[in-house]
Amino acid sequence: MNNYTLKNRNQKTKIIFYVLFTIIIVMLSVLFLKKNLKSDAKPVPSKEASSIKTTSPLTTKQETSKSQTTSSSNNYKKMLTVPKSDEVDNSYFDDAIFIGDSRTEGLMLYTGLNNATFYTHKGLMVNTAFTSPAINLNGKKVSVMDAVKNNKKFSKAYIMLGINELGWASPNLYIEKYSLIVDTIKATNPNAKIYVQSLIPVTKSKSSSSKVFNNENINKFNNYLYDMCKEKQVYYLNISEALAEKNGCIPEESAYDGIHLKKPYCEKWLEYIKTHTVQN
Amino acid sequence: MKKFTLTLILALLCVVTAGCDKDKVDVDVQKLGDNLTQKIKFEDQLTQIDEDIAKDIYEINFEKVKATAFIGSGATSEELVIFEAESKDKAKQILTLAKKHIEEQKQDYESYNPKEIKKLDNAIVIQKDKYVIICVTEDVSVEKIINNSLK
Repeated sequence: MNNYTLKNRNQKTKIIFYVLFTIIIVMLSVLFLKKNLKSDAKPVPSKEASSIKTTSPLTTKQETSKSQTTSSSNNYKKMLTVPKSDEVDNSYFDDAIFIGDSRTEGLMLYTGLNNATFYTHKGLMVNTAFTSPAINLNGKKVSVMDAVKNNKKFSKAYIMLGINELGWASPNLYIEKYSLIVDTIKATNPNAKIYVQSLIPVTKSKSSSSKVFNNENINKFNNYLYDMCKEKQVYYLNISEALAEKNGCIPEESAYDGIHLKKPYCEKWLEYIKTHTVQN
Repeated sequence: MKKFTLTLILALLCVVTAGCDKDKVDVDVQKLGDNLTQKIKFEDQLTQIDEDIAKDIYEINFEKVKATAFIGSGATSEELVIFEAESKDKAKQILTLAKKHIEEQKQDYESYNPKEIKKLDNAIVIQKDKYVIICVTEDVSVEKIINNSLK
């Protein structure tokens, strides 16, 4: 074999080697990129995926904020119905406010949660929360929402309203006023976490004997609340999960009149709240 | 001698009656509360609540007040609350606050559950020495039961 043939042969081998090496490098890069793309919460449509792939590490500010918004929006969607979390102790509620009617009054009375601030009143509704002088503030009676507006120190707000509105002809009005409550809380303290609690069901005997206080109405209202939470980007606490039996009713022994919870069930309610918090 | 004996007897009588304060009451509020919840009939199921919450409800913000409070489920206005103040004068202040609380309850229940107004109209709100007792119930013998328990 002459030198020329040998030289050619070596060159060919080198070329083949370089090509193979390049192919391997490209394949490894593709695998690496695929792995990173999979770790995003939401599957990215192919158009966006290709743009992410081709974008250099130093993305524009706009692209960074867009991806951050997408990321926080994804996180909110995961937490919309607050999932189970580590139990917090009662001190977590030092800077919490509870807005509600007589059922929430029961929560206050029977759980001993005297470090939280309760803005509650028998018969409170989403409209009277703005108008009825129910809360004692510096020796004067003011409405619940006026009391809330006067309090700049809370970082969590828990709301449960609706049992007294079940008989309203217009659920739209209920959601409209409820939304106003949420907006007022946001305006008072933009950083506060807002938890909208589902309406607790009633007992089977109550549900089957009342045209107003029945679980069919309660379920409808809870659906409206869920949709409102999505729109307002606030959290939905599915309290029913803690208290209802398989038939969707609370046990007969849980409430004196089928509606107002006895102490052990108020304690279960608090237990649920303590194990369903959004920490960040 | 006779005059001396008579004077001595009268003096002794004065001392004895001066030492006897008929209104003086000394009870354990928790034991009294437990006793009364057993004897008084309530439509609702009463549950004992935290002493501090009871004082908040009644807007009692001065110190050295003990409280035993049993509250209904929210479906009714029924309650039994006993306060022990430091003195008769402090108890008088609590009595005023207790009457105010009952009036506020009437306003609330007028629209919330008008059926309860009758019970609130007949609510027992009494002061015995340094104790104030509030009871809302349909039981007509409630006053007699409370008075007997304080003897």
